[in-house]
Amino acid sequence: MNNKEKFIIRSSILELAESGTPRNISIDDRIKNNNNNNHNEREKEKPLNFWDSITALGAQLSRPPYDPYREIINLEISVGRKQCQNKVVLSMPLLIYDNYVKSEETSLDTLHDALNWLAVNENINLGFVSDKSIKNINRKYPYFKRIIGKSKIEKKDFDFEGLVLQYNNDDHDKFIQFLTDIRKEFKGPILVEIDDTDDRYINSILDIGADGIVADTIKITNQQGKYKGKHAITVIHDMRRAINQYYAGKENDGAMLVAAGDFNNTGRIVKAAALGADIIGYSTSMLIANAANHYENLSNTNAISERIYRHVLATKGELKGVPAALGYSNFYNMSPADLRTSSIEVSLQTDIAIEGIDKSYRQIIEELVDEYEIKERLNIDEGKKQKLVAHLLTNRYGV
Amino acid sequence: MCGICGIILKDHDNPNFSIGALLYRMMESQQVRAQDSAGIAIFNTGDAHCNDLSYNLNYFIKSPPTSMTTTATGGYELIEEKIPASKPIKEQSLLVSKLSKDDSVSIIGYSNKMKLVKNMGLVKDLDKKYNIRSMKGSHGIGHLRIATSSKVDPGNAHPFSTTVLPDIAVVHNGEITNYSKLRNLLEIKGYPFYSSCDSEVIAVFLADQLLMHGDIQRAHDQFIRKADGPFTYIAATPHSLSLVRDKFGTRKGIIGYNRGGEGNPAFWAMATDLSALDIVGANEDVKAASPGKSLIFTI
Repeated sequence: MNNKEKFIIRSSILELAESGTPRNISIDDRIKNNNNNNHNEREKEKPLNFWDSITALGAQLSRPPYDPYREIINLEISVGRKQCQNKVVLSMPLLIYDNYVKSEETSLDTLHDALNWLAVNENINLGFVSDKSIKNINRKYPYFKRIIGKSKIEKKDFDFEGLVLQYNNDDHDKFIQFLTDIRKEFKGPILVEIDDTDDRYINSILDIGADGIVADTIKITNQQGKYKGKHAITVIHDMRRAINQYYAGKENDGAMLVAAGDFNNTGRIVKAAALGADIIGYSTSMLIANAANHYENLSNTNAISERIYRHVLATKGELKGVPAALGYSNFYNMSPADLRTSSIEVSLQTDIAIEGIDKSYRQIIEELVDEYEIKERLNIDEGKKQKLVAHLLTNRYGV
Repeated sequence: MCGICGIILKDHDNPNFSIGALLYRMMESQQVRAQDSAGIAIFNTGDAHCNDLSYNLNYFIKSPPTSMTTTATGGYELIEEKIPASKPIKEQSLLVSKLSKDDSVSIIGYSNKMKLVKNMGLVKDLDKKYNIRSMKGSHGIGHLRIATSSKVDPGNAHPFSTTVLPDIAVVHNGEITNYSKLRNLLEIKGYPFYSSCDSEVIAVFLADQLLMHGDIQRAHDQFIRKADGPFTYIAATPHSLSLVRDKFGTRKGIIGYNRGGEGNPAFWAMATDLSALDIVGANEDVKAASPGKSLIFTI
């Protein structure tokens, strides 16, 4: 291999690491294009991966990391608000969510086996969300039935520990009535998938007694609406803020945010949790099952189940390591204050502080406006000041 | 590396006994631990303002650069603004809200039966300005700060108090690592914060719990359960003094007893370092507080 070839391979690996997306053209074409295009245009082609622009702030000297071999890092989480009679306790903040990859029977069986092994062998209780019925009576893990487009469920059909209802945007009143009725009958946790952070939805859903909100980040950022083209982190940030606003002036009784969609590794789970998600809808296990199908004998479901089993064990270890390194003994104590970003756009969308400055972009602009007001001896009222800040934030390239 | 201490008299029957002098000696013996700022809170001082139906709103105000006070205090003056209890709560809130928006003001909290003073510098500077060695009372706490995460200014000095509930003071050694999360939950409930120091969250958390349940033991238990990180704190209310350690016992917290005699009252003393107990003769029944537990003394 000559130096040129080595360089090409190295650059393609770097590109993959940077963008998270494998190249979709041949190396020869890429070189040809690179020679033709100018640098700025190439930069524009790169997909902006917000997740990679966020880092966790390591423990400070006064904040020694816990020794994970000595201390227990708590990952356990109870799903259900104070008034929920049959709460579901998960061993990790993960709900296996088959939202995107529709599981085939074989995949469902392999997943079922893996979740059962985890529950029996390791005492790891993971939730599984599916709109398919889990027929196997030997289920050892909590199953959250996902209901789409129905307006009634018979009590005799309550063969699940939790419910995930899809909010019906077209008929708000009908959905609210459905939720009210099912809340009276079903004593376990009810989560509601929503598409928007509109107070009208969230307040009424939580008022009725839903135990949490599910933000399907891929769906939300792809459909028409205010999040079209935005990133999952913006959705998580806004949903958490909306839930916090619901609790303004009162005790938080545990309504949770489940972020589903754009998660396929521990880093993203941790960052999403620090941003405000309580539980992550982890669709990747399904992908693992599918990916395993490419490499393993399709009929050997045991081998695929084992891959999922091992993957979850590894993920659990990683999830324990991160809060320990941040100085926590509890995974759920992470907050946005533990994050820093190298991207102005990320800071703008999530109020995460910028690396090295420890202030969010909004704070920097607000301080600049304050300084300008003092320097020029102006007396700008609060409303106008907010408008000026908003203008500077949205028109930062044009000024 | 902060140094904390507390003292509570077994019987508060000698109004002339100066508890401030004991606290001063305990703080001085721990001065090697921290030199950024110092502060004390003493309860049931017998001052006039303790007995009438009024509160003090305590706050720092930044003095003009030309003021004579700037050298000793770094440019801050401690103000105790008397607020009659008859003043409507709305008016009190408006005053606090107005002051909190003033960049030159740093609010400490409300007091009635508590005298709280704090300052940048050493304990001897604090004594020079406020004559803490002459202060009398039933119990008190002291703190020496070395800043690890927030600025060195009087607003970030201990003891911390609140405007949520009068007469609560906390001194803390360690770090509340999930401070940001706890503060956010309390802010959502509507409680104000006036500093950027993690220790303030202890005072506000305890005040919230006391408002809900009125039980200091339960308040400490809840805090130990919810707070993360290495910490030991001493909290005082008009009727109690408590020493609390985190569940792993990662910060020191010891207690000892002095049986008194020759006209001196018996008392319990608590501190970070053994030297602080030694210097006031609290050598009996010396023990470390158990991790994850609170030791509470009441009067």
